[in-house]
Amino acid sequence: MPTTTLLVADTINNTVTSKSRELAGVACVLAPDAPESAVYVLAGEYIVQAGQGLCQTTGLGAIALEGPDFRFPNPEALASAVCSLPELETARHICFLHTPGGCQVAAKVAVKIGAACISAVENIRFESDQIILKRAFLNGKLKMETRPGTERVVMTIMPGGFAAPKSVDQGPSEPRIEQRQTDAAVRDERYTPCTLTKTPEADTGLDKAAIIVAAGRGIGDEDNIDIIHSLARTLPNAAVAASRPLCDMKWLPYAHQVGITGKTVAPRLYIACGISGAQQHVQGMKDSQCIVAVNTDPNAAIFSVADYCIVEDLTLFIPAFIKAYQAFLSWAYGGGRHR
Amino acid sequence: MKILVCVKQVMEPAGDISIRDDGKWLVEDDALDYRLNYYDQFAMEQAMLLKEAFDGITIDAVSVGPAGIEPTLRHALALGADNAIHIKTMDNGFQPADITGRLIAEYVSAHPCDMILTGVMSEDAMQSLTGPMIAAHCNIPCATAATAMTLNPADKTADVVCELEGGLSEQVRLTLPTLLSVQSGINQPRYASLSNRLRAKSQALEVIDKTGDAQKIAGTQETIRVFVPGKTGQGEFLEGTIGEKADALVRRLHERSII
Repeated sequence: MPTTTLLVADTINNTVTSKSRELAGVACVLAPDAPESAVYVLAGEYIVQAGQGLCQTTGLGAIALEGPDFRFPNPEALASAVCSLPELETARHICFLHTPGGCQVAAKVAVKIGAACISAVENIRFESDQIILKRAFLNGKLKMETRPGTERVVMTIMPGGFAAPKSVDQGPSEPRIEQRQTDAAVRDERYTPCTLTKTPEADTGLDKAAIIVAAGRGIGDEDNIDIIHSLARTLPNAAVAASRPLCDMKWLPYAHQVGITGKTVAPRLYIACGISGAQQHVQGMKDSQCIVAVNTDPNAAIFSVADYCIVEDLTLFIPAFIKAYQAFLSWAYGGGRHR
Repeated sequence: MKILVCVKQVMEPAGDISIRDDGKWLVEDDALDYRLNYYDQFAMEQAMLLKEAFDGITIDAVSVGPAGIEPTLRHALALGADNAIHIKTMDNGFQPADITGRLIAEYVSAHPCDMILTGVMSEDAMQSLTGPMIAAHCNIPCATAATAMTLNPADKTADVVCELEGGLSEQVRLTLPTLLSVQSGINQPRYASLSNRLRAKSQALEVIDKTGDAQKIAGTQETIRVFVPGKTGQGEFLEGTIGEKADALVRRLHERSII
């Protein structure tokens, strides 16, 4: 069976990122009856072993591109390598994960083969055999549906939109991984990855906190960060988090950032204050057990993931909530309930 | 040395929005607020920092869009750009990165530069594609989500730190000419100086008229509809005065044994 879908996995340090498994979920939507028409593409210095794990958990085959040029993530070399895959001839869908690097490779491949390129795809459907891709616009306040105008389509997949298949029917034969050595032809001498570094973890208490109070750009003024801190001090076992723009402004250190480029958390209670609900942030907190959102914009996307929605100015609501909580405590533990 | 900064005018995400009758785009009227893309401020500032650090750097700001984007180009001038180029297109709804990338690359091929800076994405469309598209069309190397950079004019290279996920970052050496998409937080964007604001008001923009080329610049994708998503969550909107909402929230959280 010819390959009609290429799933380009995200690989770092000879491992496959866990989100890469979700690409198998995309394959299930693209060809529900013939998932074997999709193959993974992985690149690394030594990536076969990691690829075998991916093949086993997803039931799909893989092409392992190995070579010294892939010691560190190298989007330029990966784009060249993808463009020279013989499987590209028959591929109609070339899928990447929606990361800056994934977008970089996707754009380069799309330009090279003259294909439409649609990024941050959340959903795929077919309408009279034509593929229609859904993506968010304006921080998720709006969705848009796009029809690619080319035979071949390059897309980047938003994490969280396509569940990785849970159990896989291995069929009569095990999925195959094919090792291919890449040569210097994939190298762009003008782009040289040098080192990979990991920022040391700072202790923010976010991992252990039962409650997280998170601030977004909606807090408006740097002084208002005190309101967030005072709520976190009032609640038991609570820590403070922030959306990216707040950390950019240095109102809180990046260690406190929750989201795709920050931490992923799942506390018992997440209180989102002045956070619009961009996917960047939501992906890092959507698995919290209970989500409260405070925002002045009744159409803010954060309300679509919240259990309790409060359309108010947080600088007024949070102090009111602290007061109500303290009144409740003195009722519950000071007098009313136990006497 | 010339730096080209690509800027985009975006819709204010918290603004009032309504959808056009054909369902394919938004009503663009006075109710919509526009401003310079958040991420592009960091690209502009990075260009300014380079200009201050090295002699002989000029900064051009370029933007693609209809007549209404002029204020954003003037904003770029106010932030310190020496020249502003307006690649004028028809006001035609959603403009995919594919078209923007192609038009800017076309400009660059006629007006070469040493470095192109873009924001990592736009706040409204969030495609993260325009920068890499320009680079691919221009056949120059590209680094994305830059969180730090050093320019080495002597050997025409730049050392760039690219942000990956999970707290990882990668250091890359690029040979100029190159394109960098700049991650937010790489610097602290300054406010426009009074002298630049005054200059920005009166300085002529360079206009490249592409309004007649609608056919030629047709993209490879079609927006079939734009819509307000149905509420996916079962979230409850608490009602009443602020005090009543606060009490209700405490009650709900207590009932669920959360507090």
